Amino acid sequence: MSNDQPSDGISVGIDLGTSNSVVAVMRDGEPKVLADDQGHRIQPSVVAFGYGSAAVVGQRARQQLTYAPENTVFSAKRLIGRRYGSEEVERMKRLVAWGITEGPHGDARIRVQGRVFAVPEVSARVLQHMKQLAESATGSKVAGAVITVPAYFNDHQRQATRDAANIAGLKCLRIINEPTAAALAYGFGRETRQHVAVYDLGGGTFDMTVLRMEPGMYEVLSTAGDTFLGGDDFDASIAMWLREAVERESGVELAGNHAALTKLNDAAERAKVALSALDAVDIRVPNLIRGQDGQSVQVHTRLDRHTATNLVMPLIQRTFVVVDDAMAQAGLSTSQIDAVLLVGGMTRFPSVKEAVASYFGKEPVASINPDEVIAVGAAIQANTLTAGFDPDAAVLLDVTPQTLGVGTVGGFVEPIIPRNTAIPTERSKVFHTAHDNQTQVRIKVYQGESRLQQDNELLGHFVLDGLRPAPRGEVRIKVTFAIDADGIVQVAAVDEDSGRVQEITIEASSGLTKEEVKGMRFDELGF
Amino acid sequence: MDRKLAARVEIDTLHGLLDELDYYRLLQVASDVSADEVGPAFRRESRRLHPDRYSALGDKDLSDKANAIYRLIREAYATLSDPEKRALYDAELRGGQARLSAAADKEAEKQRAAAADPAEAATNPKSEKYWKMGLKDFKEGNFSGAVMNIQFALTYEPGNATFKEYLDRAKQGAEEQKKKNYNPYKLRIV
Repeated sequence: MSNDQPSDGISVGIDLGTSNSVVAVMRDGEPKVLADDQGHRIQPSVVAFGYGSAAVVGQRARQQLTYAPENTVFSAKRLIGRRYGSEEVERMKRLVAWGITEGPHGDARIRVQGRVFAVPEVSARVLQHMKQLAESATGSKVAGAVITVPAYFNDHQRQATRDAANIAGLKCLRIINEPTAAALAYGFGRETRQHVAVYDLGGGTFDMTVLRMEPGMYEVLSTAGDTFLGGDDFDASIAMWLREAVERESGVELAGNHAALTKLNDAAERAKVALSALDAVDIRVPNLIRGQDGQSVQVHTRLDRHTATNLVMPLIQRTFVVVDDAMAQAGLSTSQIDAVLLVGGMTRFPSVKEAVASYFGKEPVASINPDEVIAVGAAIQANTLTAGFDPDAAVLLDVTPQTLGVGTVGGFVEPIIPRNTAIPTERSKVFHTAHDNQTQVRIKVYQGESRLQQDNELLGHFVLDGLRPAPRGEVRIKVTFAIDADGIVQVAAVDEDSGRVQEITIEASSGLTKEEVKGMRFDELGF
Repeated sequence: MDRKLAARVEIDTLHGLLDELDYYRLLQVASDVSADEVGPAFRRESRRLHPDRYSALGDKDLSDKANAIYRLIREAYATLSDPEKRALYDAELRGGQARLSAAADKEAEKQRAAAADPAEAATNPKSEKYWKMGLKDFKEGNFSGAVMNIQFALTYEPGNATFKEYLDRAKQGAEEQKKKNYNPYKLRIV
C-alpha cells in the first residue's frame, strides 16, 4: 500500500468520543495510535476553562473536574447538534455544574464563567488538542482528518461535528461512523468473507451495526442506535445508589450540591472500571458534605459485581432492543454472524460482555482494543482517501441511520429516503402548487422514524420562491434529496417545465451559519 | 499505461456513455441475469468504481464524474435487486427508456408499503374510511369496535386478505377481553 501523503501534511483518524478521544495515523502501511509526551494514548474529552481565554484539554483538564466542576466541560458530545429544550439537553442540565443556555438558532450552548460557547467551539478545542498531539508525536503537520461519529447521529449532529473541525482549522476529509471504523480496523489485513456485528457502547452513545465484509469491501447492512445511552448512564446509576445511601444515612439532601454529586459520580466511575477486573470494590469518598451535626460525612462502602449488575441491568436491556432492530433490518439471524466486535470502554464491563456473548451464542473477538479500534479505523480510511490511487484499497459502503422525509398536511411526514439506505444516495419527489397563482412552496425536511412531525427532528425548511403564476397543480417542482458520503443532507430543486434549477440549501434550523463558524475559527482568533 | 491515467480514461469514457447505458450494461450483466447474481455484480462494480477510490487523486472533475457514475450504479442495483422494480423497469426498457421512471419507482414503493403497512391496504375510498377507523380501534385495543368497522370495510372489498387477517385478530382480541372483564362478583352501584 502506498504512503505518499499530501505534501501539506499528514492525514489522521480521530475518534472524538463522549468521554475520551484518540488519534491514529498510518505509518509504513500499518495503523498506529499516537500518545502524548506522558505516554497517554487516550485523552479525556474534557475542556477546562481557566481565567481569561486560556483553556486546558485532556489529562490535565480531567483533574480540574473535581475541584472546579463549574469551569470544566465534559461530555460536550452529548449536546452537539441538539436543540435547546430537547429531552436530552434537559437531562444533561441536571448532570453538569456549568450552564446550558439557548443559542440564537434554538441550539443548546454552554455557559462558563459568564461566557457562552457554541458546542462545536468546545469540541473544536478537543480536536485541536488531538491535532497538536499528533503533530508533536509525528513531527509532521496535520493537514486533514477523518473524524468518527456515532452511526445514529442525525444530520444536525454531523454538521456540527464538521463545524467543530472547521473551527479547529482541521480539514475534515470525511465523517465516518464509529462501528464502521471498528470493522475497518478489524478487517485490515484480514482477507476473509464474513458477517460482522459491532456492538458499540461508548461513553454517551450506543450503536449496533451489521456488516458484510469481503476482500476489498465493507458493506454496512444495517445500523441502529440510541444517542443517549452510554457509560455515563452506567456511572449515573451507580452514583444514584451511592447518593440514596448518603441521603438516607446523613439526612442531608444532595440536590443542587454539584461538588458532592460530582465526587459521587467520580467514585461511581472508578468503581465501575475497577469492577471490570475485580469481584467487589471499596468505595471511599472523604469529606463529602457536612452532616446535620456539623460533622464531615465520609462515604465508605463496598459494591460487589452482583449488586452493580442489578443496578445497570435496565440499561443493558435497552441495548438489546436496539440490537434486535438492527438484526431484523439486516435480515440475518444470530447464527449467521461470524464475528462479534465489542467497541467502547463500557464493553469491558463483565455483565455487558456476558450478555452480548449469550445473545449471539459466541464469544466476541478478543484481539481488538475497544478504546482504540475506532481511531485505527479512521486512520485507515484517512489513508485510503489521501494516499494516491491504490487499486487494492477497500471501499466502504455505509448507510443512512434515520429516515429522511418531508412534512405533509396534518402534521404527518412522508418518507423520502428510508433508513438503512446505502449512501451516497439521492431520491426525487415532485411537488405541485396547491393554490392558483401560488409563487412560493415551503418544504420542511425531517429526520426520524415517526410518522408524526412532532416526534422527528426538524432538519430545516426551505422555500421555493419565484414560481411562475399558474392555476393550481400546474407548476411542478422536482426536488432532489441527496445524502452524501458523510451522511449529510443536500437538497436541489428543478422547475419541471422551465428546467430552471433552483439552488437551495437547508439553512440549519439550529446550529451555526457559515459566517458564525468563520468568526469562531481559532486561526482567526489567534489561538 | 500508468494506473492513474488508466483510471482517468476509464472514468471519462464511462461518463461520456452514461446516458446510453441501461442498468444491465452498467452492472455488466446479461439482461436475463438471475436475482442472486445482481448483488455480486454490484459489489464487483463498487470495488472498481467507488468514488472514494478516485478522491485521493485530488481532481474535482474526475471525482464529480465518478460520483455521477456511482449514483447510477446504485440506482441500477436498487432496481434490479427488487423483483417488482425490475419487472416495471424491463417493460420501460423495452420502450426505449434506460432509467426507471419516477412513476414506476413510486408504484413499486407503494406496493411494498401496502405489504408492510396495513394502513395502506384499502384500495377503494369507501372501504378505506371504515378500514382506517377499524385499524385505529384495533391499535387502541377497542376490539369490538374494530370488528364492526372491519366488517363494514369488507362489504366494499370482500376479497381483501389484510382485512380478513385483522378481522380474525380483532375477534380473538374481543374474546379475550370479554374473558378478562368477566367478574362473577360484579357490584353495581345505583
